[in-house]
Order: sequence, then C-alpha cells, then structure tokens
Amino acid sequence: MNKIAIIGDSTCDLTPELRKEYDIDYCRMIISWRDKEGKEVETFASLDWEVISHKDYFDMLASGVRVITAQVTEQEYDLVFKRHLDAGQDILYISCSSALSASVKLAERLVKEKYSKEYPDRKIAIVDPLNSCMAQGSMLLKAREMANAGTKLEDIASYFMEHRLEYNQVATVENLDTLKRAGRVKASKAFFGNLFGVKPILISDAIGNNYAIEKQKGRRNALLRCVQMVKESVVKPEEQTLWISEAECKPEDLDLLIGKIKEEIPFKEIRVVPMGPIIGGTTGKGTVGIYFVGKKVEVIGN
Amino acid sequence: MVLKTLNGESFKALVSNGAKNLRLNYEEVDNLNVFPVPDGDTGTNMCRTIENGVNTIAKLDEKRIGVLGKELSSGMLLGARGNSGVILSQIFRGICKGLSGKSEVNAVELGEAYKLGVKQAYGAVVTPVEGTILTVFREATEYACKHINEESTINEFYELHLKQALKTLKNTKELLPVLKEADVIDSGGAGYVYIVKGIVRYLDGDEIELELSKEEDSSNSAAPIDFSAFGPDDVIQFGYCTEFILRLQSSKVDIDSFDIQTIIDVLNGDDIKGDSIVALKDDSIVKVHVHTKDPGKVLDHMRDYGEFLTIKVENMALQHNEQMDEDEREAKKQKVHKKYAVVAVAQGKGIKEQFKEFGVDYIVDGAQTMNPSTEDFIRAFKSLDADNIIVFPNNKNIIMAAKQAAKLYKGAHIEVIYSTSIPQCYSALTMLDFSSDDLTLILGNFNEAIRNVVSGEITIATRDTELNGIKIHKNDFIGIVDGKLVASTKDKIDCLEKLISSVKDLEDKQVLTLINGEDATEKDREKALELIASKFPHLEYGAIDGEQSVYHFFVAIE
Repeated sequence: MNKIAIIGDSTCDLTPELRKEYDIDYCRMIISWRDKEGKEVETFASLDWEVISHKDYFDMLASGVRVITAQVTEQEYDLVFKRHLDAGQDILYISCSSALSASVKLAERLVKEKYSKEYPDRKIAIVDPLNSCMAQGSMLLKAREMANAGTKLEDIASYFMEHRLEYNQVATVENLDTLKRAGRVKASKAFFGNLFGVKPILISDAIGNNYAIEKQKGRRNALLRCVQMVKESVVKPEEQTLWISEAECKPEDLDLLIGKIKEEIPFKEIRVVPMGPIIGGTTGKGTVGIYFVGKKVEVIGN
Repeated sequence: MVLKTLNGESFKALVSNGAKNLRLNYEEVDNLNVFPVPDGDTGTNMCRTIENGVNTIAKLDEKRIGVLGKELSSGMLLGARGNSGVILSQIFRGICKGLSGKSEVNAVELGEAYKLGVKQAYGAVVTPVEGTILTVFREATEYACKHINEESTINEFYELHLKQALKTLKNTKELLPVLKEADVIDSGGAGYVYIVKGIVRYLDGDEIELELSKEEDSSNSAAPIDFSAFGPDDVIQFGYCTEFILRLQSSKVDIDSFDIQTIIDVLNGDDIKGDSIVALKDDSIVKVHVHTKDPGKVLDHMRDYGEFLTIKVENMALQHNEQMDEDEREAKKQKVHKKYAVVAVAQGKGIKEQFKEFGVDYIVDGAQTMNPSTEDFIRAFKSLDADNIIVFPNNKNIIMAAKQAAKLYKGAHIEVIYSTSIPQCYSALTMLDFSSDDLTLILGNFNEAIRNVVSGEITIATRDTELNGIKIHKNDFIGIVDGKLVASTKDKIDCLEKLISSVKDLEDKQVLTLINGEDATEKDREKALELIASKFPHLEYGAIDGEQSVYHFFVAIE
C-alpha cells in the first residue's frame, strides 16, 4: 500500500482503469434530475457510470433535461478520508476548482475541525487546483508519480500550488442550450443571446472559473480555434500527454480535432477520456475539453 | 428671360425649379434599377437631398450668390441620402465653394464654379466609377466651359450643360457593363439631368408650380413648446442645446489655417463640459451644436474667434418633449455613457428587435425605398453618449451617407463598417464582443464575420429582363447572392434551393440563418426549413422572423 493516498473528486474525469493503475481514490458529488414520469432521481456523480451510462446521460441532457449538481457531502468525505486514514495513509486531496464547487471549502473545514483532531499523526494536504476535468485529473496522475518517486506530501502539495495555473483548459460546446440552462459559465448576457451556430471557447481562468473567452461561428471553426489556442500556449508538448475529455462528441468531430492536433503539435501522446457528469452536466452533449501544461493562465473572466 | 449674370435670388429660383422638376420625375428615376427588384430609390434619394437644400434657403432673402450658395450647400450636405444623393451634395458643395465670396457671377465664373464641383465630387468618392452621375456632370461641365466666353449668357451655359448631359447620359450604358446588360441608363445621371432640365425650364420662362415636400427641419419648425416641462423647482439636468453660426473674424484668427479642432477642444474643456458636439467649418463660417449647462460660457469663449451670425439656446428639458421621435426619446432616456455603441440601419420589426437584443444601441430606420440621410445618422450619433460608435449601414447605397455623417460629427470616434446587407450585419452582431476593449480587434472580428458570411436574398422580379445569363420573368422569384443574380423561378422554395446550391464552397459552410420577411408565410418558413434539413444536412440552421418588406427571405450562410 502506498504511504500517500491520492484523492480526487467527481470532476476529475479519471476512468476506473486510470484510477486503478495510479491508485487514486475519489469523493463523489451528487447529481439529480426528473425522469420522464416526473420522478426525482438522485445518485452519486459516479465516474464508473453504473447507474446511467455516459451515452444515456448526455442524450438526456440533450433532450432538455436539467441536471442539478451538488457538492461532496460530509458523509462522503468521512467515508473516503477515513478509509485511508484508518489504513494509516497520509492524504493529498486535489479537489474541483473552488470557483466551481464548494466541496473544497467543506473538506478544509473538516480537516481542521475533525480529521486533524481524530488523526493527529496523519498528514493531510488539500490543493485547490483552480481547475477541473482532466486538468485536475492529470494533476492527480502526476501527484502519484511524484509520490512514487519519493517526493514528500507537503512538497507535492506546494508544487501544485505553484504550478496549478500552468494546467490549461481549452474547451468548446456543441450547443448552447445546456450551458444556458445551467448558467454555470461566466460570460455577459450579450455573449450568448439567441444565436445559431455560435460556439463559445471556454477556458479555466486564473481564479478557477469556466470562462467563455471568445466565440466562433460553427463547430469546425471552434474546434480548429481550440487547436490554435493549444498551440499558442503549450510548453514542451513533446514531454507531455495531451488529455481530451469528451461528452459523447460526434466521432468525426473528435477525428478532426485529434488529426489537427497531431498535424500541428508534437505531443508525446494524446489520450481521450469520457467527461464526468458534473462539468459535463453544465456544458452538455458534445462538449470537448483539451488539457495540457502550458503558459500560466492570467486571464480573469469579467 | 435671359440672364447675363446670376445672383443669389436667381440662383435660388433656378435650383428650386431644378428640384421641382426632379420631384415631378423622381419615380421614373427610381425605376432605372439594374436589378429588377422593387428597391430603386435613386430618384427619391436625390429629390430629398436637393429639397433639403432648397428648403434651407427658401426663406432666405439673399442677393449675394456666395452667401446663398453656402446655405444651400450645407442644407444639401445634411440632407444627403443614398450614394447619388451624397454625390449630388458634394457637386453642389464644390459649386458653392466656387461661388463663395461673390455677389453675382457671369457664365465663365459659373463654369469655373462648376469645375470645382467636378473636383469636389470626384474627391468625395473613394473610387470614382465612370458611367455614373459623376461622368454626366463632368462631361456636361467640361463641354459647357469649352463653349462659352465672356459674352455668353447664363442661359447658354445651362443649355450647353444640358445638351452634353443628355448625350453622356445616353452613353452611360456603354461605359458600365452592368447598365448595358440590364439595358438601363444610369439612374443618378438621369436624376441630375432632370435637375438641369428644370433649371433650363426656368430660364425659358417655365416656372414649375409645385409645393416641395418639407423635411422635418427642427430649427425652422415652430412646434408649440410645453413650458410646464420645466417648473420653478426643477433643476437644470440636461443643460441647454446650444447652436450657433459664427463668422470667424480675420482680426481674431487666421481664417484659412484655423482648425475647427480648436473650438471642439474648448467645448470639450473643463470650463464648458460640452457634449454631443458637432462643429463644422466652411471657410469663415463655423456651425456648432453643443449641449452644455452653461451656454453663457460658450458664447463668451467663442467670441475669441469670431462674431455670431445666429444663436439658438434651448432648455433641453423642454426640447426633449418636442423634437425627439420615439426612438430618440427612448435612447436618451437610457443614456448611459458607453465606451462602445452600435448604430445599425434596419427595416422589419423582427430584425430591429433581434438587433437590439444583440446589443445595437440605435436603429436607424432604413426602409427599402427610403435611405436614411446624413442627418438621420447625425441624429443617431447625438442620441448616444459613447466614446466610439460603430455603424452598420447594411446597404451599399447607405454607406456614403453614413461616412459623410461620420466626418461631420465630432462628438465621438465613429467607424463605419462596410456592411452591405442585413445577413452581413446579423453575422457580425452574433460575434459582438467588446470585452477585449481593443477597437482594432473588435473591428477585425466584425470584418472577419462579414467576409465569412454569404448573403442571400429572395424577392420578386419587377420586370422581364435577363441578367447573368438568367432569363427573368416579371413576378417570378429571384435569388441574389452577394449582389449577383443566381436564380429565377416560379416557386419561392425552389428559388431558395437554387440560391443555397449556388454558394461557392458550400461544403465548408456550417451555419445557415433564415430571416423570413413579412411576405413569407408560416408555411413558407416550414417548407424552407424542411428543405434545408433534407437537402443540406451538414448545415446547422435556425430561423428568425425578420418581418422585413420586399425580401421574402434573407439567408446568412457562414
């Protein structure tokens, strides 16, 4: 057993296989919606998709169903954290961006008021990555690599606090409906309006918000613009894996995106994972996010 | 009547008769339209332009031709609408420059003034096109000047001018291929010929009895004022609308080199804190419009440069009730200072609403056969409190008037976008985003959107003709893509299909927006969308109820 438990949450987009390979645990947030009969369905925002499949979930969003998301509960933190603390492990928790979820605030309070008292010999570090999806996910993977290499818990945590804004997101959505319904992305009212074919480009800004930094006309233009933005800010692509989180994108869109990236930027490898239910639930079917290490993000959405 | 010389009085009579003759014949000029679409408006535009000038001098009892000419010229400049109207206003501006300072002129002097008209008009157009009003006016002027001498009468000058104008007008068809193909003569040239004919008619003793239509002229109209709008306990809030004409004095400034910016700076300065400033200089005449809470200071300062010819000061609390049309009143009510404001020309209730939703601050009404005038744009600019105003003219024939207004208005930095259609404007507005706060980038994005969009229009042919190798029957539907005729069919939806199919690189396009007009029924719209979904499945599409007249559909393909 690893001395350090590395823990994420529902927004980290790590598949069961990746979590197993890297020995990463996660705390589950909650999602709920009304089914066809009007009955409320509430379930954990699981990255194993055992209650509702990835495809059914995003088809449901596309059909106009609004999904409500809720932060990690105290009960869930107790369950996950204590599982590792009881096993004698220290904990590094890399949460969802504090701008997107209050989970991290609750975790910080619980550590201070509860876990540090109940487990005075354990070390617990929390990193607010100001990011989500595979930016958060790839930090978790990197954290495991660092721990394996013998880096101390506090050094891993301070490394991410220093470098968290170098984890870049460039994402675009297929359709504005889910985005507008959920209202979770920062942008002025005039930015969206009643627009056919307008595709916002979403970055994770310097304070951790998903921010619609610009818009493009048409899906293809948006995808190509994403590649351009990756190219503009990526640093040392040949030394890193580019992660793509996707929410039931059309295969031809993914092909176009990946083909263009391969043509333009020499990443060591490109890997695709399914986008999780929390962020995907606010951006909708067809969302595609690109995650990589690049120049420090300085933009703050207004 | 034979005139050896021309003075203010007789010049006024000549030009008025010219304007009246155009008024009698403007519909015929409207119909001289290359496209068989019911949007011909050259006659109307030129008519309104010259009438605005004539109305300005109507009550002026001025014998000196130079002084009269100046008033005529500035009236026309502000009233100018449509490209031909703007060119006409520039022609008269040049002529009147040539008449400046004179009491009366003989035929040779008149000819010299006309030559300045040629120079002014050609200078005002970025790329002068031969085969238009420019050619008609230039050749007529050159011909008349060549054949007169000191002994010639004014009558002879205008007869020669008319003779050549008629000849050149006929020849415009040979100079411009589009005219030849459509088998029409140039409409602007034809409008000009009617004006000259009117002048010659007057000289032949035939004064036309006709009441010219009056433009709403705020300075002359004596609408009853409701004094109750400013009571004994009210505080001056809007300030005073202060307008005056100043004669620069050579004892105070060097008139030729005097820069109007000096006055604008003073009006903008801390002492006066003016806004909505419009200042124009024409030789020694300076016309100013400014809103200020302290008009006394304006009057004091301005005497540093000259003496007043006229002054008008009105409490804007009263003025507000009187002179603003509904749009303007609404715009003023919500007047907040903005860094960027957008003015767009549009017609159709749905389009106007959509544009406002997109963030357009002021819509200039641009009905198909009534192009807005320079003054309409200035009114729009005045109603806005913005550092930068971006203008979408949305019609080739409106761009010049917008640009002329941009030059005249000094209260804000104005950028006129070269948008020639509603779909272009629609597309640019969907990309509207001022968050970069970088004007170059903002304009670049607009221009890129416009470059990227293909504009389609579907309307009904007004006559039989052949264009672009396509036979057109009156009352058939015709499809126009970026100004080119591409389809003519009996059925509207067929026409739409042909139109979309004709778009170059259609497979690279991604988004189609259908803007249906007031003549397109619910059924038409359904059929159109069905067509797009089935025949062009790769396009993402949506529809807007534009409610525009004339055009059954606008289509933006991006």
